Amino acid sequence: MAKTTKVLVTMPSELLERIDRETASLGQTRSEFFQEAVRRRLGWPDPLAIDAALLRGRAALSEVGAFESADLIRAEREERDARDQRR
Amino acid sequence: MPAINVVSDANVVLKWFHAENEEDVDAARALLEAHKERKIALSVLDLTVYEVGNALMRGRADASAEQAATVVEALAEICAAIRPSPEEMREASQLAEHHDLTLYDAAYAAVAQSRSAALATLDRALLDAKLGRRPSELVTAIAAAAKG
Repeated sequence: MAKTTKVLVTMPSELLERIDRETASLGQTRSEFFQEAVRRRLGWPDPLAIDAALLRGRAALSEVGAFESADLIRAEREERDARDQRR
Repeated sequence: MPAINVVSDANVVLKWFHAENEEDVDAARALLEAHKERKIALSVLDLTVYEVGNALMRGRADASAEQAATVVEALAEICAAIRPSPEEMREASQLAEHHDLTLYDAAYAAVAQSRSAALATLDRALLDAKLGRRPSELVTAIAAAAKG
């Protein structure tokens, strides 16, 4: 197991209350929550979690048929932009 | 730490999950591999989640709510979603005006610029404005950087 170090962090009480509600709902400790948040902020991926997520996402779209994503997103942006201009 | 930061456009993100009739799938997925190997740090915008979900459900894909939700949840596992700062949105407005882009397009470019990141995109407008690069170009650049 990697060497660990205790740190003292200062934050607003209401933020800590929100974190505690979130960790309770996730069944995590505060330490686990902070480590995950910091890894994400630093852009450090978990390769196994990525592979599992890709499998789930690809399985979900396995039967949606053919399309080109660049066209799909372009059409969606233009439609939204046109809607915004009409407002 | 990864040497190269890459912001991914929604049109590249979708190719991580969908391949039928798609161009540049291999390059889009090679970016993911580089992210897994920590050669690059991939991120998306908070906007990307809505774009991907909306394009799947309301576009030609005609995906169900469950299918779209699964992809959006999977995306959250893969990389961080950046919420643009007010300064980045100001820059996005200027880029949109200067290059005649939608604010949605320009937000990606502004965030990439302000965070010294490359923007991976297959959007013609962003590529023509030289605000983003094709995934295949980035894959080549990443390989060259790895060789030193």
